[in-house]
Amino acid sequence: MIARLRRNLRELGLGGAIARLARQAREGIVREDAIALLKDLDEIVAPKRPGGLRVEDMEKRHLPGLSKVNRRRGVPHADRYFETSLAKGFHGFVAYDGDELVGYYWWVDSESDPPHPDMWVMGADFAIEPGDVYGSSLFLLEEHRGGGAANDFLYKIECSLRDRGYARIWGYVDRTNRAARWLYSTRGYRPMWNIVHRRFLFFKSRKTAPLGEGGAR
Amino acid sequence: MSVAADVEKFIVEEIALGTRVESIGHDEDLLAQEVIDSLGITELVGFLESSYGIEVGDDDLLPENFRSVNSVVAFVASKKG
Repeated sequence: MIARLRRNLRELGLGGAIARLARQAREGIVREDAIALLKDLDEIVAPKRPGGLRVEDMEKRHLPGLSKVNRRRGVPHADRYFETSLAKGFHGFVAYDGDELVGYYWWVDSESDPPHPDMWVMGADFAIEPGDVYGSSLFLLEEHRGGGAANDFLYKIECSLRDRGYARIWGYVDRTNRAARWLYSTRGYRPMWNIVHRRFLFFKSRKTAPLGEGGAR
Repeated sequence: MSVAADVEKFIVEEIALGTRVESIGHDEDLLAQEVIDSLGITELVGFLESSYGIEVGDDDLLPENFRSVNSVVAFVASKKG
């Protein structure tokens, strides 16, 4: 618990850590159901409608643009998290519509040290193998969604990772996020197992179960 | 109108807006043609639930249930029992 408090302070700053704690206290025990996904990068289908997004590797110079996105999302405390994630060596992509930064995506590979914190959700036995990546937090500003924009962004991400020699992408999607589930399923992401995770303040737990089972072990 | 005609009309007029799709064959592959994107699927599900009184679960959003107008019709029929 102390270690997590320290990490929150380091990554979010005092204001951000207090805001997170207050938000978590208000939320009570939160249960989220998710599905682990796997995509083979030798099966990338190009969108029929060519998209207009320009995708670049995330770098420190993108932080001001990402900060604007975080404010428009109503999560300004995420700025610190983005800064520390880049400092830790986590990788990312940013999407531009013209000159405007409108989206992002995080990813790590097997050499990431420390591992990406979101990977904890995937289960106790989960580890990225060499040649695989773990991707998370695909996001596009709401006014830039539709018309296949998310499909275009994900397609360009997949191509970029494949061109670097990676073979597979792991990740997870919230069970109730219908738009995201549709996007991933139509892009060939296969459901692998179910996940139930719960959190309250500093406490969190997660269970995994094979597909088709109602609960999670 | 039949369910198939209703679904086709909704897709053409609400989801495929701006894609120059004016009609859809009822066996046409909507996924291959990218007629239904990730926002469109949520609109279509809302339409099906309100029009036919069915409840579409999160796990029902499988490509095979929405691959064509006829797939959607079969899905609605299965939900109505």
